[in-house]
Amino acid sequence: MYIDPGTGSLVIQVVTASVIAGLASIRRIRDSIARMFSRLRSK
Amino acid sequence: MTSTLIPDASLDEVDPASFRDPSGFVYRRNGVLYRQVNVGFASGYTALMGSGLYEELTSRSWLVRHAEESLQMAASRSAHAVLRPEELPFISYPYEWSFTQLRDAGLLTLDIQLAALDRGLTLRDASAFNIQFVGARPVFIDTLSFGTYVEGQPWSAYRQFCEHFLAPLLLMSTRDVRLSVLHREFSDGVPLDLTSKLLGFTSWFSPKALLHIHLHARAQRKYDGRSGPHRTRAAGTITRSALRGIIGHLRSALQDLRWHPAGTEWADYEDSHNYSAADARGKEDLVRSFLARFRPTSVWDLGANTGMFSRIASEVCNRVCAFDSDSGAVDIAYRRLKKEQNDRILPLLVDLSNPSPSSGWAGEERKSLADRGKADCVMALALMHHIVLSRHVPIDRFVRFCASLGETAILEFVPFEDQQAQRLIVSRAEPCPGYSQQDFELAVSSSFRDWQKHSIGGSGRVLYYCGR
Repeated sequence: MYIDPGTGSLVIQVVTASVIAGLASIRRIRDSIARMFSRLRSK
Repeated sequence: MTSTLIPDASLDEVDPASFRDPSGFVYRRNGVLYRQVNVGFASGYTALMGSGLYEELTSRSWLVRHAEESLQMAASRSAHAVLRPEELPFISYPYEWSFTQLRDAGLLTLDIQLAALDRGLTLRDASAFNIQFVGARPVFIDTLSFGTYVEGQPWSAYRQFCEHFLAPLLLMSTRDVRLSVLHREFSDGVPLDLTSKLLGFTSWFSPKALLHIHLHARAQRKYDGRSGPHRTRAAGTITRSALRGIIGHLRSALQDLRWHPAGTEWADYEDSHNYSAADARGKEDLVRSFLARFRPTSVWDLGANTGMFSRIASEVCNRVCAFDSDSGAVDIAYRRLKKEQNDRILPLLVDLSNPSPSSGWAGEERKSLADRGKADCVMALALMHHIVLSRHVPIDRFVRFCASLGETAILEFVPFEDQQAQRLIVSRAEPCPGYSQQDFELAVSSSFRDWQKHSIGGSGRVLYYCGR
């Protein structure tokens, strides 16, 4: 049964989604740098 | 003028717990269970059935199956559809589940939400009461819980999920496993502000507890009760992939939670009981022979520990409930059964000296343990001395209690001189009147029509087979 979550829950989802998206971006950048270094090392 | 929402069925046909959801309700007619889908939920039900989600979830055994029945079976004029769901062997509640059971129920809820999002649907609620167990397998039972997903909308059930699953699991994992009882007291979920207070200081350094519990609780305090710009801004800003990210984060939060059962009082019982190998085998053979002779259709194993004798019962019966008050024992039993994919035995956390009472609105939403019986056969093996000597329950009341739960019973009398019985009274100054085999047999005679007894080898213990 649907129960209204309250405005606070909706706000925190926006915050959480932003934090998770930010962490995912950092992880992607870190992986790209790691791949670049491993390519340089193999040359 | 009559309301279209109130069922025409007589009150004793409608399930007394099925009244909160305007989408539909559950009722019985001639003993058969039905679920009515009200007209107001027609689009949600049609979306569930038309999107392929129902087929996907039932093929994975994630959602309870149903058959559609004629509208003539409807209980009121507001029916869009009448469903006949598959009946489950036993109804249990989240406060009767072990740590791993609650965690698996939470993981299933999230997996269903992810599958729903892929098909343009979403779960409108994430209550732990939407899950039941068939043996060691969780299954989602609320077919009317699905709604259409609107791109940009946050998950309306996110808070409920945190309160019903993440909060109690964090408390059980990081503080004390016995905090599972909070589920009994807070049937709408453990409040986030309470959880935030109970969690330790170090939980503030865990991103998962910080986001989903602590900051969530503070956001509730700050923004709840205020609609307007905050709510409008929040609604419409979360993409589907962001929502999947949140659910994935919740999923890994649950997966990372750990609790180790070893070390609780009875989790190590299998290795520490005082039967000789021959006596243990003799007891197993006696129980097996009785069960094979009478072939009960349902068995309740009281004080089941890790389920050794429940397994013997499951050789002849596929509806076995294994009750124990030790969190570790129940969790070990569940993990083993889950590994075997066993759906014949349901282990549950029940303190027989204080079993689950009726609760909820008017005391009718959740049934007491006794109201969910009777079982065809009750087993109380190596249990009576704990109840009588440790919990000070007189022998006749213990036997009467067993008789109230089952049509027949297998009871084990443990003599006063038994090593385990002596351990229980070591610090007791006063004597134990009324604890004798004679008293036990008097109690059995007054609660059961007939009985027979068999000694368990040289252990001094005696098995009683009791019938009506």
